[in-house]
Amino acid sequence: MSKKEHIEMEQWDDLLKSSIRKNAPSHLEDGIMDKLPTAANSNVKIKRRSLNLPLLFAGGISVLTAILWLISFSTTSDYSFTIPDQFDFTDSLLSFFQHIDLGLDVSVLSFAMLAIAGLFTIDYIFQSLYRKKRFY
Amino acid sequence: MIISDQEIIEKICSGDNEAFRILIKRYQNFAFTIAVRVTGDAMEAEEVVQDSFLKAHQSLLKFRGDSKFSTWLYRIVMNFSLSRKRKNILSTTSLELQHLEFEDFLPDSEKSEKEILVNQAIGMLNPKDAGIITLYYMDEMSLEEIGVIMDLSPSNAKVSIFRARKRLGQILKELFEKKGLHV
Repeated sequence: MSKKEHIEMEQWDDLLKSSIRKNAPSHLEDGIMDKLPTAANSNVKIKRRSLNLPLLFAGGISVLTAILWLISFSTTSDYSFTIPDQFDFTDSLLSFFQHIDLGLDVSVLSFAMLAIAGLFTIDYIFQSLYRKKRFY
Repeated sequence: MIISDQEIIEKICSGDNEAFRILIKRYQNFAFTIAVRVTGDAMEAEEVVQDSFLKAHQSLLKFRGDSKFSTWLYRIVMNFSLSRKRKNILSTTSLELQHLEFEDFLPDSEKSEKEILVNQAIGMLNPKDAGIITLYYMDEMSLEEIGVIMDLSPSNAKVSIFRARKRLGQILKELFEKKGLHV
C-alpha cells in the first residue's frame, strides 16, 4: 500500500470502527434459550457412556473365572452341586485345569487371569476419576 | 467477579443449562454483527446466530479449550453465515436485489447518512471480505484469531485484510463522492 493509499484508508478506519457494530435484537437471547434441549434429551447434560472395553474385559474374565469355578466344582464333586465340607477355590481351579489337561502351568494361568482382571478394573476406576475432571 | 468462559462451560457440562445464558449475553452482539455483515439481512442473521449458539451448545463436550471459546463460536457463526449466503446467492438472480437488502436491514431513523453508505459499501463486498472486515474492525483481534475464524494462516489473513480494506476504501470513496460527502 502506498503512503497515499495508507492515509486514505486510515481516514475510513474511525468511521468503520464506529459504525460496523450491530446490536442483536433483544428477543434473540430468550429465543436461543427456549430452543436449547431439555434435560431429558440434552447430550450436554448427560453424556451416555459408551461400552467400556477394559471394564467389559475385566467383567468377562470374572464371569469366565466364575464359570470355571462352577465347572471345576461340579467335576470334582462327581457332577453334583453338594458343597464339600472343606472347599478350596484354588484347588478346584487347579484340578479343573488338570482335568482338561491344557499342558500349562495352571496356577500361573489362573493367577495371571485374576491379576489382569484386577489391573483392568483399577485402570477403569482411575480413568473414571480422571474423566470427571477433564475439560471437554 | 467475572466468571471465565471455561468455568461457564464446565457448569453447562455438569447440567446447569441456565449458565449458557451468560455466554449468549456475552457474545450475541459480536456474533450478530458477523452474521448480519456477511449475510446482509437481519432476519437471516438472527437465524444464523440462533443456529450457531445451538450448535455450540450441542458441541460443548467436543470443545477442548485449544482456542478461546469466542474464537470457536465466531468460527461457527462465520461458517454458517457464509454457507447461508452461498445458498442465497444461488437462489438470487439479480445482484441489484442483494444491494437493496443491505440498505434495508435497519430503519432509517437509526442510521446517519454515512452509516448507510458504510452498510452499503460492506454489502457490496464479497461475503468473505465482508466477514474479514468485520473481524478486523469490530474488536482488537489478533491475526492468529482472525486466521482461525476464517480458516487462513496468519500471513494469509494479513494479506486478505489488506485486500479487503483496499476494496472497501475504493467503494466508500466512490459512494461518498457520488453523494458529495466527506469523511
